[in-house]
Amino acid sequence: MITAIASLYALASSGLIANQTRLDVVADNIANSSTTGFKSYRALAGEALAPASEVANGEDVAPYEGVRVLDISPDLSQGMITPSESAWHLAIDGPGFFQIRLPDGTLAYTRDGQFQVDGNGQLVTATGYALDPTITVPAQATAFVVNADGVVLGMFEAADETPGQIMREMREVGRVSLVGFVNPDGLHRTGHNLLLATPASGEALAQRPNGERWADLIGGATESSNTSLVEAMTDLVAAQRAYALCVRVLQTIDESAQFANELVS
Amino acid sequence: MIQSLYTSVSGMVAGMWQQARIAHNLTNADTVGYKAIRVPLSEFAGLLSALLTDSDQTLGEAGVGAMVGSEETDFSQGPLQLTNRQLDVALSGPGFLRVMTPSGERFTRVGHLHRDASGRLVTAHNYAVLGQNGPVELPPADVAISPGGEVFADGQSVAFLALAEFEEPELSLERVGGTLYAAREGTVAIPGANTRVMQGSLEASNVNLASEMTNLIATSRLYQLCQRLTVAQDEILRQTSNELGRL
Repeated sequence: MITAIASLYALASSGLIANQTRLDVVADNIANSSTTGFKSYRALAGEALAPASEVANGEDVAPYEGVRVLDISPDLSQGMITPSESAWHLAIDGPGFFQIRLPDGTLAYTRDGQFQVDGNGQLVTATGYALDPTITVPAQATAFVVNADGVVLGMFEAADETPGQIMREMREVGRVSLVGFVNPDGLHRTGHNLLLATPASGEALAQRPNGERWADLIGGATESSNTSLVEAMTDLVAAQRAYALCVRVLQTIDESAQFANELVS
Repeated sequence: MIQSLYTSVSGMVAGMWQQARIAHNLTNADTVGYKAIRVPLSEFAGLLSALLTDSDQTLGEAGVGAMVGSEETDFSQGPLQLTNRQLDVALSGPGFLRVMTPSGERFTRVGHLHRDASGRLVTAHNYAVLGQNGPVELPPADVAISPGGEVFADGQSVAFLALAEFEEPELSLERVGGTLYAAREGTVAIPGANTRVMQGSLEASNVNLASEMTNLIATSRLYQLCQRLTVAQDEILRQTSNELGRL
């Protein structure tokens, strides 16, 4: 009887823990509702899985263990593309990620395309990490355009043969390459709006299996966060209600436990 | 006399199990593809009255085995929720997705699927989803799934989801946790002809909050009743042994 009551407390508190996680995820989505390139996440509740040993033994044990967070996965839908003042701000239209080289040498991935030119003339993220492969912007160029396929064109000026005339010429100075993943859901979130590859996501792929590029680039624009505030508020209320319900279950079980205790008073 | 003490205590044990089931349903009120465990209150009340009237029971045996052991699942359809995620599928109708777990084939209605790093279609627990020709392989492309279960990647048909239906799921399937079900021995799954696959949706839990909450409160009161009965019987026993003996 005592163990039965103890496991009932664990059962009810499993609901508190799972719904706490759901609340955390919603709060994170709301906090990042204006973060460039952010993808909102969704925590799904799942029935607790019976211990593997019991399932493996083929026993008829179906214990009541309550609920767990089944999965926290990103909503990878396209965010709104909004014009930006800088030509170096790039938005990805379609699936795919920018590849970033962190100071310690590891590769990270992001959809936050707010690039800028650092002191060495390199294209870096807002936090100062270099794009990989690196793009060095020649100082002589006066203007830049990034094409849909990632080719960066710089405008160079040269004195023309005819005196007084200036010849303008567009030349390729680099190429922003996007990468994709077999399972982008499996990317691991780290700080600064960056993602890391994991065994679940697979290696970064330079192009789609059919040889096409992952997505188009739009220069002079950024991709807004895809958090929908209305959805986030709905999720928030649902998680709060579910949490309150589990508190009520815990209270009822606690009352029963109190009655069991009174048997020996 | 002492028999009745065991009777009311076994009522408390049964009440505890009943509360565990209701609590399990309530904590899973927001769980994708969850099917409620049936907790008919009459069963508990009936058990209680049977316990109280049945005097042929072996002394010391808490006769709640039947109640504790049997478990029925309510396989009724849960509401569909739109998620707009390509690899979310809700089943509309009586069928199940077939998945391969380390302990064999299992059935589930949780259609929150992923493509794993090797391109297989898997559940959130990383179990392979079975198509009509074995595990479904999905190239990284735009996925469309027809109501009939045909899977397209960039417009090319790549697989057919294998759906399973059961004549009487309540009798044929057993809950193994994690919203997975195993077919009992001797039952055969039939191809899911009456089930439609709804891409971009998930099936919500079919737990009825109002009735579960009412059941929880009622069961808790019945539990208290059994406790009071136990205390009263203990008191009678005390008087019998202490005060009758004094004469």
